[in-house]
Amino acid sequence: MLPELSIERIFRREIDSLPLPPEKWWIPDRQTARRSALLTALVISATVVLVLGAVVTAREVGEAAATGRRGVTTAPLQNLPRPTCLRGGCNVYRSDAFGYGIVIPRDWRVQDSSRFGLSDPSLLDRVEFTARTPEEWQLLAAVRVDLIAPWDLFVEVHDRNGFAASDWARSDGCGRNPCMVGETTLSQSPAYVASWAVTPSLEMHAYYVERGERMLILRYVTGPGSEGPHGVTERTLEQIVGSIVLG
Amino acid sequence: MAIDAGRWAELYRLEFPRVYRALLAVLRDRDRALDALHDAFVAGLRRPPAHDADLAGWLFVVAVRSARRGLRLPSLPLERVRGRSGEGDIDALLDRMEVGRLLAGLTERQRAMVVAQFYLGLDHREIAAHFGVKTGTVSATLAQAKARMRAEVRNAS
Repeated sequence: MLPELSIERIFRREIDSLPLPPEKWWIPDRQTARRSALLTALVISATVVLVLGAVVTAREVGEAAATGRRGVTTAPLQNLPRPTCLRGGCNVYRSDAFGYGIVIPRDWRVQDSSRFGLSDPSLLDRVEFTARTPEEWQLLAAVRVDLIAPWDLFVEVHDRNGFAASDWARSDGCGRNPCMVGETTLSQSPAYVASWAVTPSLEMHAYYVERGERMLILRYVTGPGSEGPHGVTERTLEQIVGSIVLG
Repeated sequence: MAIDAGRWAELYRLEFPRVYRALLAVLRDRDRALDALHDAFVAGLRRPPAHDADLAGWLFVVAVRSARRGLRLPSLPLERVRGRSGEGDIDALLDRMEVGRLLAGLTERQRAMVVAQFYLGLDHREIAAHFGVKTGTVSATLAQAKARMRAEVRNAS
């Protein structure tokens, strides 16, 4: 016998004893709300990306040399091994301020990521690399200006604030979502790797490298088994990540 | 009357403890519960419920749906991650509680409806309206859940 009155009493008494989080966490901060909006944008953009991918692939070869989309600001890395260039050519992006260099395919460029702002107090720098043309970006921005675009690579530098790579991964969503984790090395530095689904068809992949008091994060979102714009694949992104040289 | 952002935040704060605890009982995970409730707060900012009656029920169901989708981008402040006392602490706490043991054998959907009825005090019609299902579906789900809970009580005694 399980009288409902007693069930209600038990439920109220016991559930009311469950601990609450500190009150400062009750309402999401602006950053959380913004990121939630980003998620919506991500889902919308995924649809746009699929459409754009189909359109762009057909005209990619002909336009590649003609457009001004290759205007990447790059500089050769001094005294550092030059990794193998991808797809027959490459650019090297170098950040002296944050001590890294990374090889991107010749037809990639740096996309202005100021749309995200710097509301994250630990964020020191964020660079976004994309295979999309500025025109394609304008189409995406018409859908949503503050989107995180699948198939783009983000390199972020944060103040580590004493937190380990695994903490950063959990903060990013690993652990709350079913998550694959592992370890690898990037430029001979140990890196913590995590992947988790952000939508039923899109996965976040992130690499966390502790650099003294800083945390270097490389992240990208892909649709497993599919292809991004201009023939970008997971392998392309893995190769770019693997090319990083840490000073 | 439409709920403005200030009023929404005020109402949300009032309902937070009850709804958060209800979510803990259903999801058995602090982060998922808090993320889901944050999503419900943001959803209410964008499109507030038509009226402020039964706000707890509205927040609860929007949060449960959000948790099911599991769609999140990086959002947790690191101090929150660091401040946690362990992945399994809520699970362990619930396992020590009678409610936790009763709910443990149920599906997440059954748990959500049971908690909506017995903790949040919603009736079958309200649960059906919030979850977007027929009243008969709610009755059937709750009947199955109660049968399982009765079996759990019998086994325990």
